[in-house]
Amino acid sequence: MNHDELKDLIPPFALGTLAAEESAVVKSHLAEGCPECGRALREAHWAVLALAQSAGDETPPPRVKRALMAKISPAARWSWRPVLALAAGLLVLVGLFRGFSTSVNRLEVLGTTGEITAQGQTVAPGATIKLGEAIEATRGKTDFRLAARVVFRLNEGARVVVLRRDGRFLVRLSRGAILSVVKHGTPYAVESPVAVAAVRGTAFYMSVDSPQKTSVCVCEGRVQVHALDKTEEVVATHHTAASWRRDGDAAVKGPPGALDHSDRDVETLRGFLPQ
Amino acid sequence: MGAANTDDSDLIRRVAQDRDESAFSRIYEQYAPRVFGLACRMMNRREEAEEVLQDVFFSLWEKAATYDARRAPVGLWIMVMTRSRCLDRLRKRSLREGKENSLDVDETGRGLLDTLADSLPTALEDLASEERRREVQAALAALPDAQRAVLEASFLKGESQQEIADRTGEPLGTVKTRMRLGLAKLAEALMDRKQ
Repeated sequence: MNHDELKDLIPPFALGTLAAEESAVVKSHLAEGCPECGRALREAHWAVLALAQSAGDETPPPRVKRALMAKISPAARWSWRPVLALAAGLLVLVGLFRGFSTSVNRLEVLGTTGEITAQGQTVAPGATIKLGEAIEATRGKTDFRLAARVVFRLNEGARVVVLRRDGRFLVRLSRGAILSVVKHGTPYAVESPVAVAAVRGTAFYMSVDSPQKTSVCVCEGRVQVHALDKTEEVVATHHTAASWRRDGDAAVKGPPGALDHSDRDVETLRGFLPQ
Repeated sequence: MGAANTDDSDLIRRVAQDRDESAFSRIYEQYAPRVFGLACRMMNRREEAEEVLQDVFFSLWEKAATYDARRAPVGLWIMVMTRSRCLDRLRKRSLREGKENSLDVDETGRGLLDTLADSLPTALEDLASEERRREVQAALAALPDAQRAVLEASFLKGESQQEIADRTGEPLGTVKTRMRLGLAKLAEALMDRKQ
């Protein structure tokens, strides 16, 4: 690469839009101390800083600051742990007398092959997560039990918020994939940017393939899928899958994306549900 | 301006040394709208912009001790960090969507601040001022539409020159020229004022 070609790469280098290989070439040239390219880079960086400063202001929603302050607060990070442990202990004791009726709204982390976070904080197996908190499977797969009625597994990269809405559990899946096994008679739904899959007891898998496309696999049983303008009841005895892709305001059904789950996964999760 | 930056530096010091949440809260109140504004424009999705906002300020809380007031005013440090985080997320988003993307993202923006390390601190401080922000917006608005469009596609969306050329149907050479001229004019307008 001659000098003029190298100098041509300075603007995209300053803007951070150069591929890694070209970027390495520019860095090596700059390291040699070329005064002309050094000057060009400094000028370009001035302009980039100016661009960063020139975007308009936007008022963020107050919940961001609330979440942030909770995240950095030592009280939030530590003081609640013994309280949670005590509460968990009490729930177990009371549960002995009252079955699982006390575990409504309880979301337990059963185990993980990697790491998960709730509101950005790492959560260990055995801990309880509050409904409404942002949960992210940052590494590996993690299993959860919800109110002793649902067990679900988040694949790596999945991001969910679990809520209780209108008398049913609702899992908002903004990315990644989730495999759910739901005890018969439990109103439960998983919502992606494109579709909602609602059940009253079955096993199914949902994956956000992209913000525009969601795949659903009904491993067994009956699942209502509402995808934008379409509603369909999928009934399966053994893994029936499809995808729904956004096309304007309509959903287009097509073949599913990657489906990372198996019969064994379903059986493992079922084993965590009380008989 | 000098006083403002001294105040900011003091707030950062209190965050770093005393883990002072009220100092952190004040920095957030001052810069969150600016960070969120840039993140909204770059990510084009409010939910992700909120994540960037939280990410940037959590980093500030965690890494306040690494802040060096001699290198850049607090406001610029935060904005450089914001853009780097957005670029990184845009890169990951396009990878998730199955597009090829091998951009070399400087996640902390350290490279940029290093390059400007020998610039006059007062000039950098001046760039973070409200008055200067308005001047920059005016300089940007004064660029020919085609040059501004190329800069915005690259700056806000992280698009490479080739991607811009493919999307617009313009020859790659034209895109390169527009980017170079746009940056040069913007830099010239700023350098003129700071001298």
